[in-house]
Amino acid sequence: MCPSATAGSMAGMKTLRIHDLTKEYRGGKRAVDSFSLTLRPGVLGLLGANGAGKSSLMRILATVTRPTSGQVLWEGTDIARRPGPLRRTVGYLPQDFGVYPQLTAREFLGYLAAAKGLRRRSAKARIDELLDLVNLSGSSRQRLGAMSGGMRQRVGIAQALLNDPRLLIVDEPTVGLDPEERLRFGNLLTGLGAERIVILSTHIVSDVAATADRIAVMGGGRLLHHDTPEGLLRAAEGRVWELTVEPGQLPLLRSRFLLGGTTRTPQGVRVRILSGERPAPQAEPAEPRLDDAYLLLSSAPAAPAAPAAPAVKEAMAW
Amino acid sequence: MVTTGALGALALADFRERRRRPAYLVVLLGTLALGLLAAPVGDSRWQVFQVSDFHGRYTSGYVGTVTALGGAVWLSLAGFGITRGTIGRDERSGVGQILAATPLSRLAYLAGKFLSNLMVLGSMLLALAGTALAVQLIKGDSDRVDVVRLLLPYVLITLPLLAAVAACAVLFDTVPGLRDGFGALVWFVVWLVGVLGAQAGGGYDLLGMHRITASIREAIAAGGHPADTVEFGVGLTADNRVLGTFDWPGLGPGEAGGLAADAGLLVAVAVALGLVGAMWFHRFDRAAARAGGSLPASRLPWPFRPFRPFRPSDLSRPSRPSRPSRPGEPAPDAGRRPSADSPAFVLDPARMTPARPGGTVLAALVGELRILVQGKRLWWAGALTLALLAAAVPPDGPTHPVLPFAMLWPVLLWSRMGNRADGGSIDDLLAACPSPARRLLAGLLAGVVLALAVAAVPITRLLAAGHTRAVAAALAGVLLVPALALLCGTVTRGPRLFQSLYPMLWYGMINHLAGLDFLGVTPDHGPTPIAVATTAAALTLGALALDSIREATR
Repeated sequence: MCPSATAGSMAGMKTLRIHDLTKEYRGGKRAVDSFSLTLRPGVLGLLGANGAGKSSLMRILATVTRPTSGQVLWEGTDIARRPGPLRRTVGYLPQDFGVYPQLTAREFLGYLAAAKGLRRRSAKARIDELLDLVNLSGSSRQRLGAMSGGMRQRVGIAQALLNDPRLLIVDEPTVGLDPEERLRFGNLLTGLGAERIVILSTHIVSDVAATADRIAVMGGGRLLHHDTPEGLLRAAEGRVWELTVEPGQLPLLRSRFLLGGTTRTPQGVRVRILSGERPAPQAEPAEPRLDDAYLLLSSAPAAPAAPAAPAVKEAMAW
Repeated sequence: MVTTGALGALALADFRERRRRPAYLVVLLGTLALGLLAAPVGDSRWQVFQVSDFHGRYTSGYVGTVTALGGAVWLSLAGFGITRGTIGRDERSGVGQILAATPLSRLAYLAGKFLSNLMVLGSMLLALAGTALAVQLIKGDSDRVDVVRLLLPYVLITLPLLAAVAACAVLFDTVPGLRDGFGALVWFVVWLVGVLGAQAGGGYDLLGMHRITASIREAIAAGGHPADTVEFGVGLTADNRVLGTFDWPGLGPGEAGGLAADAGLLVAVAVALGLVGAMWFHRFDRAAARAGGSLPASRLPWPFRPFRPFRPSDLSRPSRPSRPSRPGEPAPDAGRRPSADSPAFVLDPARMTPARPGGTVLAALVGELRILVQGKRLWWAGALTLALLAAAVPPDGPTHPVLPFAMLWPVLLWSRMGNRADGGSIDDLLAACPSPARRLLAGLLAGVVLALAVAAVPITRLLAAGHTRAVAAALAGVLLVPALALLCGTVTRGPRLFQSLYPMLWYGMINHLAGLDFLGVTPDHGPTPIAVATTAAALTLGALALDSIREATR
C-alpha cells in the first residue's frame, strides 16, 4: 500500500484507489472528508474514534452507499458507476448485520452464496469448508435465531469469505469472539492479506497491532495518518513518559497532559504520559506502544505542545 | 411518578419517529385521496357515503360528515396497520430496554404509546378535515363555512373510534400471538364485523349512522322526496346512476348530545383496552414474561410465533441453552470455549474449494422461496387443507369457490416480499452483493410459486371443467398479487402496507366490485386477464424502477 493516490498505471495489480473521497449526509454532516489512499494486497488497520468516519468509508468501499464526491477505483473501474465487478469479488462484514432467524447457518450461507452469484456446487463445498473454518460444522443445522451472538458473528465471518474475496472489508469483526478466537482470527486475516486487500476496522488497537501491516488513522472523516506500525511507533518515540504519583495528583495530571494509562502500584499510581516535553523532572522516558502512537495522533489538537506550566512543575517536584 | 409532561414527551418522540416513516406518508396520501373520493369535486362515479339515488349539496355539514365517515372506515383499517408494532420496534432497537431502566411505569409507557398512536391517527384526521374544507370551497355549492358542523362528526364520531383503534393497536402489541401478521388478519376480521355491524340494524352503531340517516331522511322529506325507501351505506363503491340532490346542513350542536355520550363511552372503553395490555407487558423482560404465564415466543405455535430479527444487542446477551436439532447431532457450541480439538480459524482459506461464479436465477429463487416458507409448517397444513377442499368442491359456474380463500391464505408470507424486515439489518450484507435486479425478480418468482402452490388445485379443476377464461383470470391473479406485494414491500421496506392493502383489495374482489376483481370471480364484469397481467407487469416494473433508483442513489 502506498500513502496517497497518485497518477500512474497500476495495470495488472490488485489495487483499490480511493481518490478525494467525500461522503456528506443530509443536514451537512460530513462523515468522510477528502480521503485519499491507494491500497494493494496486505492488511490495512483502520483506527479512529467513534464518528471518525470508518464505517461510512467501509460502506462506500463495499458499494453499500455512494460517495458524495471523489472516486474509488477497483482495478481501474469506478465502483460508484459500475459496482458489479467489485461486488463479485468483495467480502463484507458490517458492524451490525441481520440474519433470517428461521434459517440454519448452512441455509443462510447458501442464500448469500446465491446472492453473490456462486455456482451451486462450488458454493456447497465452500460452505462446508467455511463452517469448518469458523467451527460451526456441528451447529450447521441449528437455526440462526437460536444461536448466540458469538456464533452468529462467526456465521458473518463465513459469509464474508464465501466468494473467496480479493477485497475483504471487516468492520469490528471480533465483537463476540473470545480472546483465543480473536487471536486466531487475526492470524487468519494476516494470511489472507498475503494475496488480498484486507481492510480491518476496530477499536481494539492490539488487534490491529497484531494483524495489520499498514495503519490508517481517521479523525473527523479525514485521513490523519497512514504508515506502518513501526513508522507510527517511531513517530511516538521521545513522547512517552512514565511517572509514579500519589492518587490525589491524578486529576491535575489529567488536566495538563494526555495520559496513556495508569497502573496501581504499592508506591502510588504509575502514569503513562504522552507529551513532547518531559512532564516532570522525575518522569522517565518509556518505550512507545501502538496505543500511545494512536492516542498521540487522534488527540493531536488536545495534546499539549508547550512545556508544562510552572505550577505543574512545582507539583511534580516532590 | 411520571408527570403529564413526561408522558407527552414520550408520546411526541414516538409520534415524530413514525411520522418520518414512508408508511405514514402512504397512508396520509391514501387519506387525502379518500377525502377527494368521498366528496368528489368533479363528476366522479366513486362514492364513499351512499344515499340511494341522491347525493347532498356540499354544505360544511355534509362534506364534514361524508369525509369523517370515510376517514373512520379507512383509518380504522389502514391506520391500525401503521400504528401497531411500535412496542416491538422499541424492543428491537433497544430503546425499550433503556426505558425499562427508568422510573417509567408499565401503565405510563402504554399510555404514552396510546397517545402517540392517537397523534398519528389524529394528524391524518386533521389533514382530512382540511381537505373537506378545501373541497367545500372549491365545489362552491355553499359559500357558508360552518366550522362546528364541519368538525362535529370528526370530533364525536371519528376521533373516538380512532381512540379505540389506537388502544387496540397497543393491546395487539402486547398480547402474545397478536403482535405479528396474524394480528393483522384478526384485526381485519374485527374491522369487517365492526364496519358491517355499524351499518346493519342490529350492530353497535360505531359510526353514528342512526342519527345521521334520520337527519338526512328528514332533509330529503323536506325537499319533497319520498325518504322511507332511501338506503344508506359507507364503503367505496362506483355508481353510474344519475343522482338527485338534497340539502342537508349536517349534524348541529343540538343533535350532539347522544353522539357525545357514545363518544365518551367509546373513549372510556378505548383507554381501558389500552391499559389491559399491561397484563402481558413485562417492561421488555423476557424472563418475567415467561414467569408471568405467557409462552415464550419460541414455544408458540406458528402463526402465533413472531418473526425475531437478530439484534446487535444479542452479542452481549448470554446465549440461551441450545439443544441439538436432531437426535445424535453434536450439541451446538453456544457459550463453549474452543477446545484444542475443535478450534475456530485454524484452517487455511487458501486451500479451500475455489469460488466459481455462475449462479443462476434458480439458485436465487430457491433462496428467496426458503426465506418465505421456512419453518411455516402450520401454513403448509392450511394450504394442504385448502387444496383438499378445492379438490372436493366442484367449480361453481365459471369460478371456483375455494380460489379466493386460497389466494388470501399466503398474505403474511407475501407481505415479506420486497423487504427484509424480518431479517433485521440484513440489507447491508445484500447491498454488497451483485445483481440486485436478479434478486428482486427471484423474490417475485418465489411469490408466484407460492401463489401457484395454493391456487393449483382450484385452477386445475377449472381447467378440467373447461372454463379457460376463468383459468386465465386466476393465473393473471396469481401474477398480480405477488407483484403487488413486491411493490408494497419495496416502497415501505416493511410488510404492513401489503398486510393492510391486500385484504381491502380482496374484500372488494369478493364483494364483486368490478374494478377490483383481479381473480375473475365476477365473470364478464371485471378487468380482462390481460389487463390484470399487464397491471402485474406494471407493478413489477414499478418495484424494479424504485429499486434501481435506490441503488443509484444509495
